Amino acid sequence: MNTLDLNLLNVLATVIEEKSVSAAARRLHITQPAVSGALARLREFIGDPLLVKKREGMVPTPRAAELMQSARAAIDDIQRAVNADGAFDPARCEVEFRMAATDCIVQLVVPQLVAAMRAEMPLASLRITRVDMEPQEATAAAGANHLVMAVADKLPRNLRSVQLIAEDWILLSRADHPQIGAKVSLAQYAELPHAVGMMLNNDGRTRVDEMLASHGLARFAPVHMQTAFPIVNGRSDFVSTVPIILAEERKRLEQLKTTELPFRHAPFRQHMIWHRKYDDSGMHRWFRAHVTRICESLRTSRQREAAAAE
Amino acid sequence: MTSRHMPLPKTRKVDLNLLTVLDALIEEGSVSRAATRLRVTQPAVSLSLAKLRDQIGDPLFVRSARGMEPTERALELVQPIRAALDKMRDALDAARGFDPATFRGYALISAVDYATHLYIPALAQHVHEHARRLQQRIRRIDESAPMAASAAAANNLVFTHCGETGPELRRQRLSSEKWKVIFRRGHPAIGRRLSLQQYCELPHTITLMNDQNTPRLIDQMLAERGLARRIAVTLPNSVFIPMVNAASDCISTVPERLARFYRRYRDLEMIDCPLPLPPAELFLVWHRRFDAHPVNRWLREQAVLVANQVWSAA
Repeated sequence: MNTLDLNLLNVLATVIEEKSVSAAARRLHITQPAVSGALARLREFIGDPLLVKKREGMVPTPRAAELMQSARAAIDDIQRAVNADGAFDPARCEVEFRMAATDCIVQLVVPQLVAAMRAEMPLASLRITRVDMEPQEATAAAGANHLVMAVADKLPRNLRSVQLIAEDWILLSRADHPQIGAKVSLAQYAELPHAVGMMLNNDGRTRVDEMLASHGLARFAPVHMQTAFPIVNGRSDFVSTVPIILAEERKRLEQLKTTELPFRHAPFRQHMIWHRKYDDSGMHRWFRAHVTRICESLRTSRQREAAAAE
Repeated sequence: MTSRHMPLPKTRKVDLNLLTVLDALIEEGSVSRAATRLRVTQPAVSLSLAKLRDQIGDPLFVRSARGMEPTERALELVQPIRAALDKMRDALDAARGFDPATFRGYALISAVDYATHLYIPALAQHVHEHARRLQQRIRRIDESAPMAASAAAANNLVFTHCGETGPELRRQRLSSEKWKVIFRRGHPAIGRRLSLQQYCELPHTITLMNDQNTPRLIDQMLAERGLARRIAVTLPNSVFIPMVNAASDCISTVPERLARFYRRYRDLEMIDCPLPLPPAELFLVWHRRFDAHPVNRWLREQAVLVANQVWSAA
């Protein structure tokens, strides 16, 4: 058998995931020349360039892609075995847990998650970056993060996902909004001053805009925003179409009301996504268990509130 | 035929519309992408390019493996042409006049977190009341000077903490305030005062975007004193700070008005920051090119008006 440092495969796998030598070096905690050196040795061994520079970054050649398909499963198994820390002790865990999450899920989950961390895992820290609602973004973020909380769709086989939230949408406005009675018709809805931010498509239209267009209607959005901030508040005329769970949260803080939408809209779903190499990690399981518990308690308290309101 | 380094003869007439095509071709590097950008057909772009070649007397672009490569002559021309086209567009904008009540169009606003939470909601409502068909496109930016400069150059009205902006930009200070440390009510480790040592020992919540200035300054000032603090949570947006700190023992360093704003939403307390940080300032920044731009100018006036209302109400 040829002798080859098997770590070189891990380097190649990381460069392919990160699409860049420098990003791979950072993740592997080695220098950039070390990554380049490893790639050079592997290139010579296999007799193929392995990676080509494209606009989107370093992309595997067909030969490298084929090699990695078989090698990756083996690497994952090894990492999974290494990560499996049977006697995990949260009190001594010093991990910097990297998470990518949508604004919505940060608001719903992170405060309680930090509370649990501070109580049980006081030496650990949490670093969260923002991810958009597009499923491709969630998949891309899974390489560099322990956990992604966003929209999962058509995931590659090495990623796992669990649905955390499935929510209907509702219209949020100030409680005494002059244009909104007990109900709104589709035509009235189109007339309202909308603040639009979430779920924008590439052409800047939302799925709601597409639906309205199919009824020959269009809405005017006086505000387009790229980020979460309290634009719908007790003093503004703006309205927003948001998941019920977020609307309820905001209603607790401001003089706001919710009104049923005059149309049906596909539910708002959020998932938890992670690489299968973390399946058996005690540290990772701690985070997954807490996120699941927080989402379950959100759900049951919502159901209790709904029952009390009836 | 002109020599490559000679300016255009004064008698030569160039169709100004063709120059916009040249600008788009250099930017996009392909006839088809230039056509998409200019909203014309590909043959129209090819025809314009042929006319330009004829009028300027240079091939302007040569084919290469990477697409259309501009010639040296084309590259020489692009800067003066771009500047001239911008001037013409600005002159047209300024000449058009502006009636907020009937204006249809959009305005770009870039703001740091502090402004989006404390100030933009009131500004957006005010603008909406006076200009019903004006769309406000609000984007979040970090605190860095290059970010503010590039947003201002693209005709954004910019709200930033960063005062050093360079000669091209104008700025007006909207606020200046002290820094406070916020934490949950009944925090077991914080009494009536917060010492620098306690400040370092307690877990901090920071935001990633702010990483660029204030948190770095805090860490620098601590390092000068031989100290360091512990970052327990890094958030993608400071809107989440009150939620996280109210649910845990984490603390954050924020401008005083923002601290007061957070306290309306969560059960939080605030205390003086034990580090002598320079005041937190908010600036309205715009590019001097847009001094006379009607939408930009009207928005600036509203921004100052609303700032006075917001601060006096707070």
